[in-house]
Amino acid sequence: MNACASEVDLELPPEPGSVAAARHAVRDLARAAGSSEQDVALAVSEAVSNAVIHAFRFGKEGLVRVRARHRGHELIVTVADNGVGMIPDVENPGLGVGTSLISRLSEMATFESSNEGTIVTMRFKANEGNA
Amino acid sequence: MTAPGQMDLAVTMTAVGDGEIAVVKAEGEIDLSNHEELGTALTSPPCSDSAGILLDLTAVEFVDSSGLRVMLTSAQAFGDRFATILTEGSAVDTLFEMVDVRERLHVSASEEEALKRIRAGADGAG
Repeated sequence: MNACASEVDLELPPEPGSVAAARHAVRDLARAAGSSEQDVALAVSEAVSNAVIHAFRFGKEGLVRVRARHRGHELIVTVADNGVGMIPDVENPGLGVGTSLISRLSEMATFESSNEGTIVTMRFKANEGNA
Repeated sequence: MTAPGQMDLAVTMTAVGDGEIAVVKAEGEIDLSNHEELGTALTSPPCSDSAGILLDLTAVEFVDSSGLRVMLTSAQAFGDRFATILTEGSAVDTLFEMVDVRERLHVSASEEEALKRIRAGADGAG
């Protein structure tokens, strides 16, 4: 993890235990940034869970990278994987509400998908931080 | 035992009213790493042998949609004989509101109200 208190940068294996590792790290930053800890924690948990469950199918291997930074009046969180992209998953064990929750919890969320993976970028309100 | 990276979750089960109702109390955080632990508790004795389940979430600090899915599965199986209690304003409450599942999970204001509701459901089913 980046030593700077206003940033988080994690490379995690696509395993269930990575969900909490990411959530706790970004939640700590959200607290310091004055963002809603509950909203940030839930959104990060959903985004990383989606990556762990869906991204590495068909034998594909890789990592989940979680970055968060406090800039201006925003906390910007990116969850990126180098998996298969956002393609239908008929064996989906989830409720199918993850992306909806992410969109509602954040001020703005973007989902970029390709055959090189998925990038979810979430922006949350924060106190004035580093420019 | 908690596996590496798995969140701490304690689930205790108590049978009340001559064993007719199983009270399941979860403590900690529920996510992808441990939601099956709650699911196992809700589908094993005494829950599987009971007339109803009261799921106590007042000590749960965090839950995401993986945990919610487990709860909805149990609520669907038990119908009116399933109820939950939680702490108002908690992370659990926030998620339930956002996904609009308070009614489906029969959120009750107190343990007493929840037990009354479950007993009424059991009477109706019986």
